[in-house]
Amino acid sequence: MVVAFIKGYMIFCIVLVLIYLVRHFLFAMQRLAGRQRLYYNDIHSSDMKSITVVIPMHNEEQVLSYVLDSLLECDYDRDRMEIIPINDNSSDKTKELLDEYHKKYEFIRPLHRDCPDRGKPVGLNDAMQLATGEIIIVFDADYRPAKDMLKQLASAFEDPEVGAVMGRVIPYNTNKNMLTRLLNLERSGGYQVDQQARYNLKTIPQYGGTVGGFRKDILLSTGGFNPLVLAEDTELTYRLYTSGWKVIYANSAECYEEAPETWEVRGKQIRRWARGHNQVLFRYLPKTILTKHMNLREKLDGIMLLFVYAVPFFLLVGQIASLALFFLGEFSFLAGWWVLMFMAIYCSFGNFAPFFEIGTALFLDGIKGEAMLLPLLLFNFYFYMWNISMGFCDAIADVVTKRKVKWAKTARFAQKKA
Amino acid sequence: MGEKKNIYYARTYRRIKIDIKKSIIFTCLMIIPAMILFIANIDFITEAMTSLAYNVLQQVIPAKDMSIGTSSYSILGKVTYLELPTKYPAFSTICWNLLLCLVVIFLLQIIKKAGRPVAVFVIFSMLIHVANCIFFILAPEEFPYSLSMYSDIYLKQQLGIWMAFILLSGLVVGFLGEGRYLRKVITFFGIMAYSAVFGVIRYILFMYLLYEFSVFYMALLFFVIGPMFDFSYVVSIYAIFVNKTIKDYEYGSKKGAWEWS
Repeated sequence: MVVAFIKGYMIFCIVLVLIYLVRHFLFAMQRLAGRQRLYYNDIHSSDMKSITVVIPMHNEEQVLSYVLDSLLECDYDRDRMEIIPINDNSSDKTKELLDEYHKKYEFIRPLHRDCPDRGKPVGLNDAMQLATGEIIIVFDADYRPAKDMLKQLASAFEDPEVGAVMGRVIPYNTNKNMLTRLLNLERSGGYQVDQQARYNLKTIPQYGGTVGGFRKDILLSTGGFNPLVLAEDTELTYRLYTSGWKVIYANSAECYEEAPETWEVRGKQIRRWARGHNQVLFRYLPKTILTKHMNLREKLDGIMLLFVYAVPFFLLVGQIASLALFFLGEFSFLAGWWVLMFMAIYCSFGNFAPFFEIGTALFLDGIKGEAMLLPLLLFNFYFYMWNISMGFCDAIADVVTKRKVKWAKTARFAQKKA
Repeated sequence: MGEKKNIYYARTYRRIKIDIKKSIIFTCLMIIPAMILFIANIDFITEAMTSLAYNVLQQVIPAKDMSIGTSSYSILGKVTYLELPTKYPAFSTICWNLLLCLVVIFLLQIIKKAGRPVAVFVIFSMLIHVANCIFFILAPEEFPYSLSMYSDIYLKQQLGIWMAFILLSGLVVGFLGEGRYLRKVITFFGIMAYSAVFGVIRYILFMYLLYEFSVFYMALLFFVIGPMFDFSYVVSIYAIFVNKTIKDYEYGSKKGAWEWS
């Protein structure tokens, strides 16, 4: 009975991984050779949307001047934009630096929060109450938007069906060390292939919480961001789709970010992402299945996207199950034909962007040399499997205990601007 | 302001034009004959592997300890494998191994390297061996495999891996980039050739280690240097292929082949 159950579980893992393998292969092929769905690049409205750029900050004295100076360089009507940096309980010089900017530029209006409920969702909610723009555009404090970024992102909202837009994230510190080089590969696969393919196929491009924007009135009319959810970006994606809105991916809107430079920081970041994403899985799986606002294609991709950060946990349990089968004398189950299936498991790890998907992205991006790092991603498998599984367990504990989530900021590495 | 030396093509929406029919035909022409040839020769392949292993191991293992057995491999044929006597570990060996694993795990934790991928991989490997040690301490007589059984299963698993690789390598190289068929064929057969050499060497090494140091290390060898290592060289060869293709399309003869739509 026990053996039959474990074998059944292994078959479940194999089927699950094969489904994702096919999904990634389809995405890679579609992006490589399929027709590309363009973004709204050629919309030039004489009446630009009024926007509010929101930048959540917690102890960001090292990096805040980069993002603010980049935004000041952006090409957008000053009387149609404002910038609200959210100083969220900082204990460094963030407040003083922001006030200096405010003195120089009236449309930079810092929001100083000094209260116990720190976190991105609550900060965004407070900022939206103050915001005068109809579109909220969000950047993290370590981002460096290009000159045309605001125009590009705002133009999507000329389409009345669009609820949110997402740009492309590219690390700028790729040559710092091996980790940042590997993260560059993952980002390339995630945006150049995965997001663009989903946009091409009209499935679920994901709003990523930064380098993106959304309509303020949708958020306000639905109660704002939920402070109990860590992945407010994923939550917004599903909130929009399940109520009939679309999310648009702007591959041409490239923005530079600081990738984590130590494995410890990366581990914490991915664990937090996994926790937040799985919180959304628990909340939105039934809604995604039952909603009348999504077509079958969107539902299928939506469900698979919801499970993306649950699969490593299933695989971890699968590894334990395979060890159990070994000691139970069922080793032959792992041999022969079954290996065909097991190889599929090995083919589909690597932060869920399989190797040929990343290879395709590097090819499309024309990044020569870096493809030679692909085999190193194999070692990340266990690292990600462990950290993501911990995030999955955190999310389950959140549901069971109904505990309040504590927001943690990703450590910064950039030197303060002189 | 510095002047740009090169103006590169916009990467945002570019794609390549692939003749899907041609690519499918080419991929099938690589995969199907290779698969048929492979399946038709399973008997010969395992016989040759076993014979080679026998001859090599004869240098270090007495001939009286070795023999050759056969078993059925579903409808695909028969597998010939090396038969060797099973050696079990001494209790002290198990205890020393357990202690060593726990020390390694502990050290990796305190030197703060546990967050790194290689450290996590080593810890996972050590945990597998810890489970193995506990099994051998509690129920050594329940260990379900003899070395000959493992030898048979290893070969069956290796055959499965090779079949998977024929399919996988064909698919991943078949569609990336237009033309360059020779490079694709070389990559495809390169993977298979490397896999064949690696599979045989590993078989001989595993048989020797398990014969010499007991079946106690079977779990560790399978789960740590098993299929994952096979996959690593597939990815490595694929990476070289991708890199060459990128050079072609960025600086070489295929530079003008991009399309934007």
